Order: sequence, then C-alpha cells, then structure tokens
Amino acid sequence: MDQAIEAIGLGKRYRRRRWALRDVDVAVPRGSITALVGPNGAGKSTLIKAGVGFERPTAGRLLVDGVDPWRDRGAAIAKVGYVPQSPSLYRELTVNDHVRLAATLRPGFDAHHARRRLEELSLPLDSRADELSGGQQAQVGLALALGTRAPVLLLDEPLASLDPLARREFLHVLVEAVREDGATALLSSHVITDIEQACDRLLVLGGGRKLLDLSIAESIAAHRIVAARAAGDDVVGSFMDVDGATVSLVRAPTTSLVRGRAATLEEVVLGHLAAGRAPRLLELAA
Amino acid sequence: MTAMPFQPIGHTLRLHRFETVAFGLLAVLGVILAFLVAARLDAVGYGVECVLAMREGGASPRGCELKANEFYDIVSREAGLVSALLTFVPFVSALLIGVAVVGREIERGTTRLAWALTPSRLRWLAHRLAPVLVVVAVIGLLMGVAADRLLAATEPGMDPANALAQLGQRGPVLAARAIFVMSIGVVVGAVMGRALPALVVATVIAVVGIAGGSQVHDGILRSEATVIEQAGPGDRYFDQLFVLPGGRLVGWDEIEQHDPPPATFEDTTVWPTLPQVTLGISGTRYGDVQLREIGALAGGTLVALLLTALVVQRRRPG
Repeated sequence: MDQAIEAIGLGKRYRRRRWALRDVDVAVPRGSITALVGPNGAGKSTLIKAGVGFERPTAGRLLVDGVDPWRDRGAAIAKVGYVPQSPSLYRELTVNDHVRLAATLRPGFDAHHARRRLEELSLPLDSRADELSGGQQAQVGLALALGTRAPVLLLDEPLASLDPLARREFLHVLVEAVREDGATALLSSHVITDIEQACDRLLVLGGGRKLLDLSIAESIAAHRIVAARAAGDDVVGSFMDVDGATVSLVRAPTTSLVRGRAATLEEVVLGHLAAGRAPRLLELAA
Repeated sequence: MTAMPFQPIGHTLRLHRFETVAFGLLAVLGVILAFLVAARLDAVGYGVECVLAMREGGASPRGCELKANEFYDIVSREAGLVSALLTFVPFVSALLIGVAVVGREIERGTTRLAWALTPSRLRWLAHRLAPVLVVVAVIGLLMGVAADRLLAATEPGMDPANALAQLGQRGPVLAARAIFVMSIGVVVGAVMGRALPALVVATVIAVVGIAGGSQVHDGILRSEATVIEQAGPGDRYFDQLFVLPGGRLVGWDEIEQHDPPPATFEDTTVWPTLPQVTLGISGTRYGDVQLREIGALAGGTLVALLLTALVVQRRRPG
C-alpha cells in the first residue's frame, strides 16, 4: 500500500537544543485513520505542524502525498486539510463567513460540502464564532478542513477541550467524511477510548521518538498484560494500574505459550510510553 | 462555488471594524472641526492687508487690531487643537491598524487556520493589507485636505499649494506618512507576533523614522537653498547672507572681516551696511518637494511591506 505520509529519519530541534522529534520513521498508509498518541512534549504537534509546512525539519525528511511541505509549502497545503489544536476561528466572523473566507483563500475549496456538513450538525451558520461552544468551534474547524477536499487530513488534538458527546460527534463526522472521500487522517489525541473506535492505526510517540506504529488490531493482538513488574526480552514496559498494582506489558508470544491476559489499547499505549520514559529518565539521571 | 471578489475586503474590514469605525469617525470629526474653525477665521475678516499693516507697524486699516485679537484668539484656542488632531489621528490610527493586520492575527492564532487553508500566504497578506491600506490612505487624505484648509485660514495670504509651511503635516504627504507608519506597524507586528509589544516598538521606529526622515529632507532642502529675490509668504528661509562687492555671499561669521562694525554701540543700527539677501526655498517649489517626500515615504513603505511578505512567508503561524 502506498503511503500518504512518510517520514524518514525526521528530526526537529528547537532552540536551547531540545529535540522535539528525533530520528522518526513513519509511514501512514493511504486511506487510514491513524491515531497519534503520546504525552505532552512527545512531538505530536511538531510532527503534524511539519506536515503543514509550519515547522522546518532539522533532520531527515517528511513527505505528504509525495510533497515535501517545507520545500513546496503551496503544493503541500493543497494536499492537506488541517485542524489546529484550538479552533483558531476569527471571533468577529460568522460561521458562514469562515466558509466564504476559506473559499477566497483556497482555490477549489468546496464551500457547499463544508456548509452541508455544518447544516447536518444543525450549526447556526449566521452565528459569530465567539458565540459557539468549544465543540461547535471544533466542528467548524473540521468542516473547513473537510471542505478543502484534501487527500490528507492532519488533526492536532482537536478533541482536547471537548466534552464526551462533542468528542463522539466530532469523531463520527471525521470517520464518515474520511470513508466517503477516501482520505487519510492523522489524528493526535490523548483520549484512547475515543480513538480506539475511530482509528485503524496507532502511532505512539514519546520523548520525540517513535515507540509504536501498528494497526489497532495488531497493537492489541501483539501484546499481553502480566501482573507485577516483569523482566525479560518480551517486556515492553511496566506501569501502575488504576488500583495501584504494577503491571507489565509484554509482547505476545508467537508460540502457544501464552501468559497473562489480553491488553487493552490503553494498556498498550501506557506500556510503550513507560518504555519510552525509562531511557529518558536514565538520560536525565546521567 | 466561486467566491465574490469583494468578500476578502468585507472580511478584513470586519476584522478591523473597531479601528476603522473609530478612526473613520475621528477623521470625519477632524475634517468638520477644521472646516468650522477655518470658516470662523474667515468670518473675522483678518485679511492680507491687515496682516501687512500690522507687520509693518504703521497705521493699520480700521478695526485691524480688534480683528487681529479675535483672529489670533481663535488660532491659539481652537486651530491649535484641531491641528494636533489632524496630525496625530492618522499617525495613531495607522499604527494601531498596522500592528493588528498581521501581529494580532498571529497572537490570536487565526493565522494557523488561514495559513493552513491557503497555498499562498501572499494572497492572504494581500487580502488583509489592501483594504486597510485604503482606509489609512483615505483617513490621511481627508485629514491632509482639512489641514491644508486650516493652514490657508490661519495664514492669511498663504496659498497652501505654494507654501512649504507645515510640510509633512498636511496634504497628500500626511496620507503618505500615515501609510508609511502603517507599514512599520505591519512589519513589526509580523516579526513580533504580539500586538501590544509590537505597538510600542513600532511607535518608536515610526517616530524615529519620521523625525529622521524630516531631518534628512531638511538637509537636502538646505543644500538646495537659493537666494530668494522676492519673499513670498510660503517660502522656507534658512539663512540671511550679505552680498560682497564682488557678488560673493557671506554669512554673519565672516561679515566683520568685510564690513567692520562701528566703534560705538549707537551706530550699530545701520550696521551691517552690505546689502542683505535671504537664502531659502521658494514656496512655489512645494509641488516637487512634496512629491519627493511622498516618493521617499513610498519607498520606505515598499521596503517595509516587502519585509512583511518575507516574514509572513517564513515564520511560524504562532
């Protein structure tokens, strides 16, 4: 399957020499909805912003639908629909104004498509942006991104400030639109339960490095949870369970010798994040 | 669906609604006040004949003294205030609008949306700049015309189109200055990405730029000064010189060598005895002096806007 987003040895270092991304290889298959998961400072936003040409990679390269966004931002933007972390709407303008604005800024913007999406959600088109709830603003941001009819959608934690119902509604619209248009989406989020139902791939970043890149089904099938802190080559990482007990995420054996219980997606993510944190703690201690 | 060509203008003006309405109203108020004060001054009837008579100190036409008192009372009480309004409103409005064009958008994060939508940030910049440029130009021109009218009323006998008085504070130069100041606000806002700090920095740069530019232009005018044969009310005087018998011009620093001062103090009333001439620029040159100043300001504006385009092309959206 060819790739909609491809990063090869991607690195981004900000001033003060902090690496936000380091040596990241990513391949997001066309037509997939990939969840980009990681703690704060993991490099999720940096990866997404690099995809829109907002960040210049320090090392390696990133291709979005075959285009390097930093070298040819115009061509890359034409292939990308972007939903920023906060909706970033113009508070003085109405929802309808935003659709018109997008049409003036972007040749080929499908204003009818964007309006239809908004009308389906019963969003008042003549309301000013500052009169909308956080969820409605996020929906406007998504409708504008979908109106671009871009083959790649990059969504930078759009669910962060939404209540559960608004999150569910947002994801429903996203999944429906992606399936309908055959687009590819990369969605960064902290909320594992929501993305489990919406996404088909999981990309985990930690400390600027890639920790996991698999389909959701593979991610779950490839791991098990065992009680207590375990040791061995198959152990990914140990973390505290909700009841305070330490559990370990282990790679599921390929043989018939199966130990522990099946892991949830959240546990897969936690195990890999714990594994990603350990080397960093060692680095800090050193 | 094709977007209407005027929609970007409407959007931009709505984004700057407060500034455009507030400064538009101030501009209208300034124009009305300027024309009102000018009409009041005209109504006093303190004309050229009175001015000349009062200046020469001889017998003045009937009522000139009373008229002069009333005239200068209006000039000092009202015309001064209106003149200050006409000078500062274009400057302040240009700064506030200029800083907001890019700086406020970056600060609010709306550039994240806009720059991710448009394949050309320059198109976005053009949509944002063009309408506010027109607004600032119109405000500047209105105030410039009003300042011209006020000058004509406060200086009887002076034709603003042939006078170098208040250069830069009236006529089209005022509009050109306003546009230049706006472009400073735009570029500083784009670089800093925060409206308030950008406003402070842009104010300093604009003041230094305008004052420095005026100094430079003053120097150029001084170097171009010639002997003015017949003084006009709109002339700009730089120096008073003395004509030596050979025709060479000398200043006060050299006069004693060529025309020794009298021994007694009483005789100084007739000293120096050499014929005097005035060095200056005739007010009739106002047209080309004005054009040169506008050209320099336009050049500065162009540089600032090109810098803005460069910054907008390369910077993060905030």
